[in-house]
Amino acid sequence: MHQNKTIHEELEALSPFWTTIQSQMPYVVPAHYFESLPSMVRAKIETEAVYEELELVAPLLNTIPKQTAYQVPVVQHKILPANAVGKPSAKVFTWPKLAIAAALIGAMVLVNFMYTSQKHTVDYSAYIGVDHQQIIETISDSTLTAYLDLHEKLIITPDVSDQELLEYIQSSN
Amino acid sequence: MDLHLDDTSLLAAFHNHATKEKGYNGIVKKYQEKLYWHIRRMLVSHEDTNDVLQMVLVKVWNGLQNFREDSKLYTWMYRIATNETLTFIEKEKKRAIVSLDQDSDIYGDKVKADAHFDENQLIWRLQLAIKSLPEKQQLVFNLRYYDEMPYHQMSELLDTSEGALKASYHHAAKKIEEFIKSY
Repeated sequence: MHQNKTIHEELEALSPFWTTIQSQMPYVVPAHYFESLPSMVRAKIETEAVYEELELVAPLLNTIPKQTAYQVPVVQHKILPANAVGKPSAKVFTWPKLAIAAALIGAMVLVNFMYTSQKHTVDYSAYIGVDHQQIIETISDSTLTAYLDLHEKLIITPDVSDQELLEYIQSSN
Repeated sequence: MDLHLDDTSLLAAFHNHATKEKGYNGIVKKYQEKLYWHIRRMLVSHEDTNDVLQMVLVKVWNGLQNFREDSKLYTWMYRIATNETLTFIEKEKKRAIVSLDQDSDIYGDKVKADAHFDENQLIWRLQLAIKSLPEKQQLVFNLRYYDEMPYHQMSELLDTSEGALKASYHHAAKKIEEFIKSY
């Protein structure tokens, strides 16, 4: 306080102007700054120690930025919370999930087995027992003649010569 | 570590391997605020002050082992802080020249950029006036006006005679008065 008085007297001796001025600082310091400063300095000292150690052994490594070269997919950034980004994602399986998955797989296998094990059998005995003679007798002569006329014209006979075909057409007319 | 321990006890704790960290923390806690304001008055911004102060305290840690107690611990730490601050200011000025901004009043602008700046208040005008002085004169004025440092201690710190420091201080006070009156 005595020192303070001396300093103010010194200034007031220079000019009465200094009696109007307060010697307080208008700047503001962030809250709790001085509480956290010693630990920040400790951390910096550790960082410097690591740097200097490497500088003696392999100084080139100190010129390389200490940032990870790996990229996290953009989609993961959007989905995951900020504190999860950068950590390897681990799939977590729980017993209920495993049980449901096993039951579904079992059901699919069973359905597939039942479907593929069905035999498509043909009743050949029904065909063997048909009486062709009886069926033909039920068809009228006109129906049979019409059938034969139609299909006779469609038969291709490569062994017949042009002359024979011409004679056949003339005789048919 | 008790903040009220004298420097000799703190240094003794630092030189003892078992209590080295405690001794250092005691020194930091005892002087951090004084050093902070010594730097902040020169650099204005808290961020720059924080950077320089941390650098100073790291240098104190590295240098304490070889600290010769023929000067006071307080004066020795102030000298480191002063040198680091002036080096920082020189770098800022060179950066301003490179960016073709050498005509700007870097630190006056920083005062005006403070979130609480009010040019109608005398305490803010005083800051602008101090920033209009050469750096060495700012140092002398701040050490005497705010830190109330005796001239003999300032002489040890700045390697300048007491008479020269007194003349510098009075000259600075007059220039500040003129600045504020004409603002």
